[in-house]
Amino acid sequence: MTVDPDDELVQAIGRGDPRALRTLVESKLPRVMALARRMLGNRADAEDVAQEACLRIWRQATSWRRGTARFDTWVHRVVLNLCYDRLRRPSRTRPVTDADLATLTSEGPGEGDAGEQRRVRVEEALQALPPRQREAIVLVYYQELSNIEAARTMEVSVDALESLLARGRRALQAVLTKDPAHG
Amino acid sequence: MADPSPSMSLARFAALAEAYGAVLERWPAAEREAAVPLARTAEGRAILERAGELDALLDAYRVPGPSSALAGRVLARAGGLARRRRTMQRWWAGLGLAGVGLAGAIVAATAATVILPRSDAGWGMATDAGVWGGGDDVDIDLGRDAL
Repeated sequence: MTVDPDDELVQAIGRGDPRALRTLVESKLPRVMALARRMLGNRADAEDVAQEACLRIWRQATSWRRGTARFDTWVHRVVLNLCYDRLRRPSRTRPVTDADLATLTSEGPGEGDAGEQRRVRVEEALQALPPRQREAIVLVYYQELSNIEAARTMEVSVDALESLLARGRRALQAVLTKDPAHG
Repeated sequence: MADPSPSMSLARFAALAEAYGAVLERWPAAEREAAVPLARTAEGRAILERAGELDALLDAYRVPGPSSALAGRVLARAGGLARRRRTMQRWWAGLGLAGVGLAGAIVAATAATVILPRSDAGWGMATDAGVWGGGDDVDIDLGRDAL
């Protein structure tokens, strides 16, 4: 059986080793926060989700079953479940319209340097994608999960993952590369 | 003889670039080797160049790491949970020991009831829980009081 790189950490959590908590926060919080931030598109929501996710992971780490998925994959699933809870809240469920996409193409942020403008435009374009396409791109491109781990995390086949990735990237390409003024 | 490199169609190469981008390291491990020869062709380079344009934009989307305040909040709340969990574990362990002691007392009392000769004048046994009186229904009373 393949050794999970987080095996020792999970065992330490199970033993109640106080140092395990700090190790968990140091090793997982950056990835948890990055995933939540790119799924939700704003810092405040991402921090709430990251905090809750870390607490759940700390409480439930021993329920992770070795051999079914890597611990890191399970951590991603915990974070994504919390992100979807947040995305389902009424204040966040306004569907993205064609007008939103047109605005993204024609307008950039008014302030900040060129790098910041590009960052904001990509963030807005990602947020305009359907959540499952965004999730696929975030897991594979930014979190650097393998196609198999990403598919397992999303509970879809690898073919379905590739379809989500391709559709998501086509949509981003259409929005982000059409306006040379902001490319 | 070494196995020949697996081959890949240009259509599959383009589909992979469309899904995973221009960097072959992000492609499925099982298909990277077959993709290398196509990546060196003019058609392959053109496909990767188009995918690379979007990659460059995606790379611009950096997000800040977690603040030390957030890490501090997580440590404080999880630390509190851990302390409560340890307290509960000690409490349950103490309860378990008390239960073992009580069970021992019940067994001893029951044995005494069975083994000791019965006196017409009755008898009493002092325990931590008080004095249990003898009588015909002593076993029933013991069980109920113990609970």
